[in-house]
Amino acid sequence: MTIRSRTLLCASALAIISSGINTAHAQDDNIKIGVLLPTTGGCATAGTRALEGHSAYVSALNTDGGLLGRQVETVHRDSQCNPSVATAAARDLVTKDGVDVLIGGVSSSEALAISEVAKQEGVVYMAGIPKTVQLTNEDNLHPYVFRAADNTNTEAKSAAIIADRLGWDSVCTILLDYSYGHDLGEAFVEHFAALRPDAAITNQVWPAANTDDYSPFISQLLASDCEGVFSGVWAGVFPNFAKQASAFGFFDRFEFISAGALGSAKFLETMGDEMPRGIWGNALEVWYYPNTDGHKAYLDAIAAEIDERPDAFHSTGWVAMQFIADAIKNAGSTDPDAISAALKGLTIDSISGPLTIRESDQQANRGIFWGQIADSDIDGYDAPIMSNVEYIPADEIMD
Amino acid sequence: MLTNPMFLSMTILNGISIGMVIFVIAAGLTLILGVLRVLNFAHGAFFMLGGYVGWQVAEVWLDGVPGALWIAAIAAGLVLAVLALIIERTMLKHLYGREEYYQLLFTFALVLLINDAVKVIWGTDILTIAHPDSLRGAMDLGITFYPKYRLFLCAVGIVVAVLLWLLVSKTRWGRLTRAARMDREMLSALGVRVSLVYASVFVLGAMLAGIGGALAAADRSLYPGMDADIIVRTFIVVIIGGLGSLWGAFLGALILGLITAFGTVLVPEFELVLIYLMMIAILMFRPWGLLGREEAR
Repeated sequence: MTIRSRTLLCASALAIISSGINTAHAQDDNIKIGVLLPTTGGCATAGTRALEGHSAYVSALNTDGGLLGRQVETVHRDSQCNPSVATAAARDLVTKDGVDVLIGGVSSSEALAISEVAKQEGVVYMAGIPKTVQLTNEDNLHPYVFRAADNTNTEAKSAAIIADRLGWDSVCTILLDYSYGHDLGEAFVEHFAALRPDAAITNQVWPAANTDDYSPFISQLLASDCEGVFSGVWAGVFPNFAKQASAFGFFDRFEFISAGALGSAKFLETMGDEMPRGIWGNALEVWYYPNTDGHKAYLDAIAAEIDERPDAFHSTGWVAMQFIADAIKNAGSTDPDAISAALKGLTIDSISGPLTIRESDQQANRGIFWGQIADSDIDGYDAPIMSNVEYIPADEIMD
Repeated sequence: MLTNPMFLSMTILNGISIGMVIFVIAAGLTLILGVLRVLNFAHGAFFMLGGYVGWQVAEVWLDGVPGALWIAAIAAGLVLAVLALIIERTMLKHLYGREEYYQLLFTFALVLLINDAVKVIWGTDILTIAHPDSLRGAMDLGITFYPKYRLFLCAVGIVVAVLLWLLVSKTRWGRLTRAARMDREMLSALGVRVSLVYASVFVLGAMLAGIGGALAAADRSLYPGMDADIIVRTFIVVIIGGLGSLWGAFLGALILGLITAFGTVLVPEFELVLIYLMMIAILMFRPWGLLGREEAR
């Protein structure tokens, strides 16, 4: 334990020093966007890509003349997937750098930490990735917190819709034993019971979030009498689970629907042949679907920024910044209360069609793309893909 | 659920395979502890580094080559052996006989250094090595089926235990390590270069951790900081087995593995607590561990 905390301490000290250097040349007439995304630590992959997506949007924006006639400047701090680092960095961004808006967070705990700072300092915070419903529930909602991402209800209930279509009458779940897993589990069980009152939840297993060896849980599910398994083993930890489960013949035995961005392009490319085929996964953006102008513009802008095909996580940074940019445009000012008022009820023309932030709880009605993992049928592309992609809208299921 | 014979035997095999991976690390740790009297905090980091070296060889340099994992495991063992030799000859040897906290601080510094080196070289993403083609899928054992690769890991643990036991109890080198353990000065006075015995023990221990790391990485995942959890479990195994006792570590690892496997099924909320309770219970009745010797003071 001490080992890890010492390492963290050193890492955060280094990060604070280096991020201080980054912000040295800020100009005062710019609109400043404070971005808190982990570029080190356990969720660095998601954070780095979201930051690239964000930067791509800002570059495009500045090329078109910026906002309100001013250039937009990003001030990034590494939040390290750690709520206490995120809190300190968020406070720094507001008080020292004087940012006009906060964007970011990957883990739910980071989001809750940043939201608290936003509330105290009176600055708008837009969560681009965090899904926890707690961020915008009655206890935690305040005028300055907004969510551009889908929430755990949307993710779990859209999975329940697919489970219902597959005609599952008995279901097992494997969900990680922390807030994301429990939120998913609760929403899935509730919605599935509503859709299929006669179906049974046969067995639920809860590996710890940092489980390295899933075999005790895999064996338990194999000994259970269920037709399908709903999983919350997200992309970051899925490779290990998939390897162990495949060796048990797990994916031959069960139909499998998984939350946690398994349909993300970069993830599927990394997994390659090790990715079980036939399971259902999701993603917030799919590079070959839908074939719309908005989506194509996004793909071009990302390609200009990073010179490669985007991953679903790039879209989170892009969409979050798009909401903020449109709100500042509509508000005609960077006053936090004006931005907050402009965000409520705001509809943007997003890469996946129109998205609206509900006035009631300040969340975007962002749905998710689902599909079944299959061999690629796209010319010149070898990695597995999501086939039969379908966008499940959020409006009916996000509560 | 445990009345289901398939599930019961699967759970027992889960426990044994979890234990055998821990044993390979614990064997090196307990050997070093027994002979050098150094509590090597960095042993988990050696294991982790072995995994990363194995990944580099198996998934990057020899990706798709048949038998890549076996070459990767040998490479990981060699890299760790060389690294351990450098560490021992240039730094650690100056700390023998000093107070324990010098050694603790030193090996602790190694943990931080290795972790940062891993982050710089391989990044923070979670990596994983694929099962080798020859050991993919499950084997039918009659009463149940079980992943071939995990059965292989069980076999590795048993082979390591037997080989180490033969090495320590039947060879001249083994006699020297046992003598060095009992009375360093006397052995030195007899004309044996004790420092070379020490170096060889440290290198062998690190090599085991390296090979174990590469082989285990093909059944789990690699990420910076993974050593923290491993080293805690390894220490528990060494402590309940008896400091310096090879078969004690073997027994301790089996107990820890089985408690993990059955604990996860029976009392999922308390699996970790159960391990510590087991350790407390054993230390209450045998403070020197299951197969350790009560030291005369």
